Amino acid sequence: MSINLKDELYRGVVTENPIFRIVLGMCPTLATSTSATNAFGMGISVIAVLICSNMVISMLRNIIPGKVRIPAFIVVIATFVTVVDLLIAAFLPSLYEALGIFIPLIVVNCIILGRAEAYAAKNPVLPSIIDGLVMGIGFTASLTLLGSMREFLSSGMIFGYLIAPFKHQFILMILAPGAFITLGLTLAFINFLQSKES
Amino acid sequence: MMKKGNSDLKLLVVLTLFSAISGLLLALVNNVTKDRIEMVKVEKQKKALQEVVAPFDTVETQTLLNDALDPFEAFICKKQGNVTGIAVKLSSRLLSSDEMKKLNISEPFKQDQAYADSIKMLVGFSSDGKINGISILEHKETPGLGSNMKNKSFMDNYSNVPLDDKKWKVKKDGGDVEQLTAATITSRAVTSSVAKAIQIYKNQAKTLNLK
Repeated sequence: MSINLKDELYRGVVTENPIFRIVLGMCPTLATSTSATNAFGMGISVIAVLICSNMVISMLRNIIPGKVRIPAFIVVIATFVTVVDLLIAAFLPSLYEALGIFIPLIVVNCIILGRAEAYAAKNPVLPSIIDGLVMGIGFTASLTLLGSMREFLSSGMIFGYLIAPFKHQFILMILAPGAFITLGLTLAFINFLQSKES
Repeated sequence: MMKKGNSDLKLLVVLTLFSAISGLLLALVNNVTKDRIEMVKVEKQKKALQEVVAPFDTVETQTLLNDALDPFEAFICKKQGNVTGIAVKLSSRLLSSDEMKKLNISEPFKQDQAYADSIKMLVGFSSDGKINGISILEHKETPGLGSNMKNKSFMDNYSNVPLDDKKWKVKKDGGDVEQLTAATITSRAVTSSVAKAIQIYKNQAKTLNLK
């Protein structure tokens, strides 16, 4: 079984984009897209966890009976994330400062469970790792896009740098309604593009 | 019939085994990392202490409220025997009347709860009765909103100000502290904790014969 990395990347970022196409992991998407920096941080944490959880689930896929696979996946993922959380807190304190708030959010991220169920449970280890990587990249790219839009609309900045010609404050975009509005309009726009294509 | 019973038993065994192994693994990792995490916290606190008070060479620690989860402490910093500053470590949690009595605080602080969990912070005072600066040790406020309290513009509210120069309330409540946009609850929690720390400092200063 050969894997074409470019095709896989296209699949993760475009055709099966976790946020815009599969619409998974909405809770962290809405919560951490308040700024480009936050979105990027969350994305990086998700890539790391997704690769490792896909790997572990894929290795265990023949041991886990089909009927209890979901609870078993949840146990594995929650344990895994907690272990990562503790290890980073102990050995990489400066990284923990930056990403610590996102790590507990990953446990409730259904992309992780979704990929475990849809891909890693049925495929060998290496393809599962690559699936984790491309899905993570797709998630990071889309989340950073949403975060940049919200940050720009709310304060005229992206990644903390002033982009707009003048500084302004539009608090709605950084609050929860702004998350729904941005996500909804972006989804609608992407659907519109796709309907025109076909 | 027999077979079904068998496979159900298998499910039970596998899931139990998974949970047991996970539990074991977590206990193991917790055991390995516990001391280091504690060490990192102490290190961080030491660094925060150097940020909020004038240079010192020795520190005397006094426990004000003995709570396993978040103790209130006073750090009396000295250089060559002279007090250079006092730092108060406290959190924004609500205090019981018993605890208020212990701390010798009179004013009831009603709006001191933060948005998520309590904010733990260090408030530094110089020996001549000024707030030197504050440092946030731990918080779980919303990223992008409440977490903006760490921004310099908000921290400057509490930087190098004589104690009685400001009314320690946010502007929305008629005070002098510029609150964060869209994070009034966080701003109130920080400000009222600073007000609490000021009372604690004044009590400490009296016993130490400071100004």
